[in-house]
Amino acid sequence: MSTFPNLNPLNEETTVKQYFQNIFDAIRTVSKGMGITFRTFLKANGMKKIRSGYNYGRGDVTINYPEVKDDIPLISRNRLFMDQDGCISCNQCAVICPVECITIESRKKLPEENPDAKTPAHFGSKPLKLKLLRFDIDEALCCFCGLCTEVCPTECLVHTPEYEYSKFDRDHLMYDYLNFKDENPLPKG
Amino acid sequence: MAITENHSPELRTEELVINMGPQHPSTHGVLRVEIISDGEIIKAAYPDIGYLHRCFEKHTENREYLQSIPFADRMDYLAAMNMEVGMCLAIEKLADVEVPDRAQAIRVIVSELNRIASHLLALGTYSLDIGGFTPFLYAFRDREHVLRIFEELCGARLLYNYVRPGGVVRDLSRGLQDKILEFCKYFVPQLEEIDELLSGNIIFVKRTANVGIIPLDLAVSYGLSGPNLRGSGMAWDLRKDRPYSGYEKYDFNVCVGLAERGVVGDCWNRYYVRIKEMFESVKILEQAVKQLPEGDFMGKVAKAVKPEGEIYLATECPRGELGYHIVADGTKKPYRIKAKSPCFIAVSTMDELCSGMMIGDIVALLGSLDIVLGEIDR
Amino acid sequence: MSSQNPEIRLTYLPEPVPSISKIIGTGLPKDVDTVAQALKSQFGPTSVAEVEKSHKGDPFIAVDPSKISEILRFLRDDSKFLCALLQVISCVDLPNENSPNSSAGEGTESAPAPSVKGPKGHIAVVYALWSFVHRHQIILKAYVSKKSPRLATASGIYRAANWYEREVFDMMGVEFEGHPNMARILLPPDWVGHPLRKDYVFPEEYNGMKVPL
Repeated sequence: MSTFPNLNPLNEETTVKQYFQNIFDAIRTVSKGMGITFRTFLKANGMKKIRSGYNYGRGDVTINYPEVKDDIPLISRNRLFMDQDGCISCNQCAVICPVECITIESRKKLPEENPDAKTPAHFGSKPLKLKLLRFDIDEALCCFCGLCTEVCPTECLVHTPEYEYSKFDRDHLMYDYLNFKDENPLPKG
Repeated sequence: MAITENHSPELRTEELVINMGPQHPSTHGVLRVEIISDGEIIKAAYPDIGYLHRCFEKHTENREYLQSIPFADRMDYLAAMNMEVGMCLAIEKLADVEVPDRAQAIRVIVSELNRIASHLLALGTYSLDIGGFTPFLYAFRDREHVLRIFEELCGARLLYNYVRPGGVVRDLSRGLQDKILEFCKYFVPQLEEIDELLSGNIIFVKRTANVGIIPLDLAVSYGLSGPNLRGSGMAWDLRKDRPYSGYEKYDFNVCVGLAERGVVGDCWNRYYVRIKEMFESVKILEQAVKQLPEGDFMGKVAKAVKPEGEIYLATECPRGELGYHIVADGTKKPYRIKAKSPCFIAVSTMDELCSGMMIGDIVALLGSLDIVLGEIDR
Repeated sequence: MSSQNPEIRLTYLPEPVPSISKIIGTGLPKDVDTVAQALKSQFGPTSVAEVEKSHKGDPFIAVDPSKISEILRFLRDDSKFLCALLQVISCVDLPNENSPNSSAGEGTESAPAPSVKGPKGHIAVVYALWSFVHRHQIILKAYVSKKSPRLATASGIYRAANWYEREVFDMMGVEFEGHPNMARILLPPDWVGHPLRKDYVFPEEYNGMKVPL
């Protein structure tokens, strides 16, 4: 490790045989590498244009995003979506979130606000005892772990496979799910 | 001894302090190396870490075990499944949770898939550091297939949150076993092609063989593990010698550096151990998928697990031996979790190894140690 | 014309390392009572404070902190133990004298609240050793008091201890005597406080920048 490196390798005896052996070695190994690259180039030209996922060497390696988009599985964990008909304000998602990005406010229902209401059938018909006032998720803080979707008892909070929702300002990523509108989208094209 | 000593006595030389700064394409993260060099020869190199410190251990003291698993993912983000498996095994030992056979086999499958992805990235970026641009993209093309399989399995490509205390969150979907087997069949010729491109290439060999030699007794004293220790000649693999999660059922070899080129313990041998390990990983994958038992994918465990006691448990990560020292006091939140990271020790060998090298050799050494700063700084 | 050569500091202790014959071989693992017995007979009965194996998980041996250097060297070199690998040096901040045992509360008479083992008001420094020859794991604990947390360094015995001890100093404040480079490793060099202590208060500002919480 602390030996002085040999800065002048030509000091050692280079015989004529060694000289030509070096040239031959260099050409051989370089041509092996270039041969592989050339073969891949030729193979890519003849590939079938299979666009989606599991092509394993039979289709394109790169696709022309954003004109052509890859199909991603439906369980992919991207932007969150909450259907406010199904939320029973149990607060489980806010409790389990590791980064505390969900803010929920609710209050008891007043007598004139239909206290026997239930969530729709596809959410399990659970009784709605509380009125939801505020449900904010800060998608800039969210770490996309999926824990909140696992504990939601009515499964109204889900991860959708949508990943193209970038904004220029971090504050625009605070999503208010009770008045959801996708404002400030990036200009298309 | 300055290099100009032999030349001219009037020429004044100085030692130069060069900063291989935190933003650098070859340091695999934010690592700062302070190099004191005499021309091109290095007199001393001091690594400086801490630029990615995210206080993992302090966060886990305020959160439940289930909420700490996404944090554990993010330490070594390239081999996230292995980090989760290690933590869950330690929690299960303390909480007396039994894991069903199918869950253990699924854990082996995802660990080996992640090992392949991690090693592909390691050798892809290593060849990029040395100067070869082609194997980088070939490795990433093959890694893309693994990430696609993971996305269908658990919904995320890099940070999974899939392994929990007691088993795994979700079963394999229909058809995924066939896709994994097809991947194994596709991958072996691609790996042989990358091997042919890189391992015998005279430029690669001249830059990495006989560079950064760590003799075996020094490697053990430094506490190296994983491919770094195996590249120095010791056949020590935690999957074979202290098996966990059902690894004893599968038949595979331990890959040791045998000095086909260069000397045992140099950068080339550490790199070649990783290539051989990928072949072994494919073997384990095929056996695990073909012998996948039926049953539950999650054992009987409370939603908020409450372990008690103290344990140090080590598993085999793609970078070495990852250990978790968990001190639990019977409540939902741990008292202390310490993660022992294998790359932490690998970077500390630079103090002793780097005097006498040239500056280009530091890049070769760092790439062969395969460090990830997320794990070092936690 | 003086050349302002920067000073080269040696940041590791260049002690000799044990040879390969102590790493490769076959032997039988020893259990924790045998280890405690051997340590007591070698270093006197006060060297081993307690053998703790009543909890779930790994058993460990609590040793006398003033003899930790000799104990580690003995475990590394003696042919019955040959622990060549230092896996980790970890640190645990045990509760203070007047604080409850754990956040579970006091518990009832018949089911006392489980707690963290160890004397109160101390910091536990944990050494996990592994032997390739005998395939046993020996975990040692040294309890240092919080008022003067000092311990002898193990970086002459294992090179791995160098950076582990720096991290323990950084996070918990235990100083290791004889360490060649006792400086902070993960936090910036001018940080105040030791974060992993239980009574750590997060600072509001650092060098004029607000610390995000």
